[in-house]
Amino acid sequence: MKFTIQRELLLKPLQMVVGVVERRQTLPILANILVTVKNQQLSLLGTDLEVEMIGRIALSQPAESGQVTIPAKKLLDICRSVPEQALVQFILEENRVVVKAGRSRFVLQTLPAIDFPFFEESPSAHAFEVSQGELRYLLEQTHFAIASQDVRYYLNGMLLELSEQQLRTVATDGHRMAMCTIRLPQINDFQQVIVPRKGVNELLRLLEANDDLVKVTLGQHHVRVESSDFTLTSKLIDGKYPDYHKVLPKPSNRLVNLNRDDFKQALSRVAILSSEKFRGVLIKWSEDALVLEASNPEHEEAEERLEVSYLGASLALGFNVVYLLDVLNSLPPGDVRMVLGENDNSILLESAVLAQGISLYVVMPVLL
Amino acid sequence: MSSTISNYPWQAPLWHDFQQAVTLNRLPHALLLHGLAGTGKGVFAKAMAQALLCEQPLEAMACQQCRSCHLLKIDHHPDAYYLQPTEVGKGIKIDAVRDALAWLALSPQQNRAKVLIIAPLEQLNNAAANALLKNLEEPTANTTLILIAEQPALVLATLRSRCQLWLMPLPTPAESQVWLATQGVTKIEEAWLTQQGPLQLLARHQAGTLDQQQLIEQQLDAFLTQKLALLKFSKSLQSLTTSDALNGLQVAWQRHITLALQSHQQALAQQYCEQLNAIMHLKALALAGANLNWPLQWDALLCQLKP
Repeated sequence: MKFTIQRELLLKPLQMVVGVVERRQTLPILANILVTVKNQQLSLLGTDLEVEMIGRIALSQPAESGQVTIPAKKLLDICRSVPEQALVQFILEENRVVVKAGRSRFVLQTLPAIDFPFFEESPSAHAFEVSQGELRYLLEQTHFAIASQDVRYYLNGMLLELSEQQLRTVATDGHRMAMCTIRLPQINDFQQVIVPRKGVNELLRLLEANDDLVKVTLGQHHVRVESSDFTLTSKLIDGKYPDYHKVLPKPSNRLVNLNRDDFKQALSRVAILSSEKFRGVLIKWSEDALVLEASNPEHEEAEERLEVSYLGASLALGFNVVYLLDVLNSLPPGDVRMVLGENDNSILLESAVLAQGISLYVVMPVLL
Repeated sequence: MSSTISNYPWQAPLWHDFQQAVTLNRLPHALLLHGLAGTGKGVFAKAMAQALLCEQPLEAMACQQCRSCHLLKIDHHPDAYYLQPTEVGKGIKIDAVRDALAWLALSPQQNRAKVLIIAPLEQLNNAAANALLKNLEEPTANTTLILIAEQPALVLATLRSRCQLWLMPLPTPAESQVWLATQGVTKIEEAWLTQQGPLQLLARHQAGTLDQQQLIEQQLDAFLTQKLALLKFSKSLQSLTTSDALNGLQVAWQRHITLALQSHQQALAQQYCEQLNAIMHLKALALAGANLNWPLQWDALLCQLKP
């Protein structure tokens, strides 16, 4: 294996791949990245066994094909520290790789490529294309509701659901739920996979808010997101996601429309005096106003009044203010519709400006 | 026959059962492999994992050629997880179990199956064992849990009842001797082969501690005929590793029982049996990784053994 590449071209994909490589590896070889040169293309692969990242770069100068694994962190440090615009040359000599840049020369130990546990292609896959921006939006709108270290292990990830012409993400931790849906005419099949938190976070780091298309492949065991420069593969959570439709409150006349920013500011003011442990805020619905109240164990109190029009019966319910603020931070500016379920007391929040159903949030009440 | 298993002829019947279970699709999702030390339970578990994860298994036999087999051989397989103490003699902690459970919740990386091997099971403390229970009952699809124990009686009953028990047989002394001879170990007394598997004897031979067996027996005889002081004997036992010393004592004591029975001294044999219990109890504690004051334990044990 032998190739030459400009420092800047190498640095970005290298940083991307090294980001996945975990510090506390169980296997020594996982501290390495798999470097492959084939058909004038260089690919770098790093994994922590849960997600795998591949960065690809086209080589302009003639290169000799080959495959080997090189210590990731050291390679990154070397590439970072060589002078800007320098040409970096890699030559594999037996089981060591020589890296030359300008007047510097480094010799790194390698491990055989055959020992590297990279992901295998998953069978029975559904594939579709979506723009990076849209996919990013889907994840951004819902990722905060993913449970963390829940014994219901299937909640420690995000549901990605394909159904008739739409793509949907759902996340819940049992106290609140976030759901986001976009239309995607090319989809006809129904499939559900649960992407673990780690995979979601890596995708959020990677995807940019632009219109470039990425190819998403949902396999039996993996999800793979592929663009021209990178491929991210993540394991899936082996389980069945609960039926989230049951959680959505039935439409009722107990609804109010509020300005998002007014509501958000009022909540954050009241939250100052809510109990630090439970973060509870009492919301009172009445004919002409929504009253927010908070108090703490020191008997300090806060109250806010928001003028609204409300037709249902008056009532008061407590909510975790952090959950409400998370939702309001995700909703677009403008008016927000807040609906109380017919029989249960969970609330549904959605934007009153955008078309219905793009992002939906359900928050369960707490006893105060 | 798979090359690894054919090295251990006494495992052949159990391996045959395994093959049948796999071909009939009746392999239990959790199996507890138990048997005396040195019978090759770990090797067997690894061979099972290899067969389950192989890309082109032939009659539940790993091909030894594919990438999966290669990764398993060098212990790099992402779908085989070993849950074991981080240090020899230390327990398996609940955090380690939680990590393993998080791994179990995810899909396999290489598309086939997941194999979780827990060894030695005795080292799992109660909290850790309880954390495992739910997954033992309903593991994810295509998952096999292999639990390894020397003394299943020491394992939490709720855990044991959730597994199918597979006994790894101890080869007969003659079989063991033949096998050990092929490994270049010859000077073995038959009595040694009744309480431990040949692999352990081989390991002790390689570590150069096989002579200790003889030493312990000589010293024990001297001790019982009051030619060796208790404290001196205790000190000499302390200089050995605990498992070696306990195994040595156990083997020697069993020989005494046999001798007593042969000479029809029932009462003496009875007494020896009770004393053997004390040794076994200590052995159980050592297996479970209990943190004991060994000099004190040896003195106490020898006081009980005193004629």
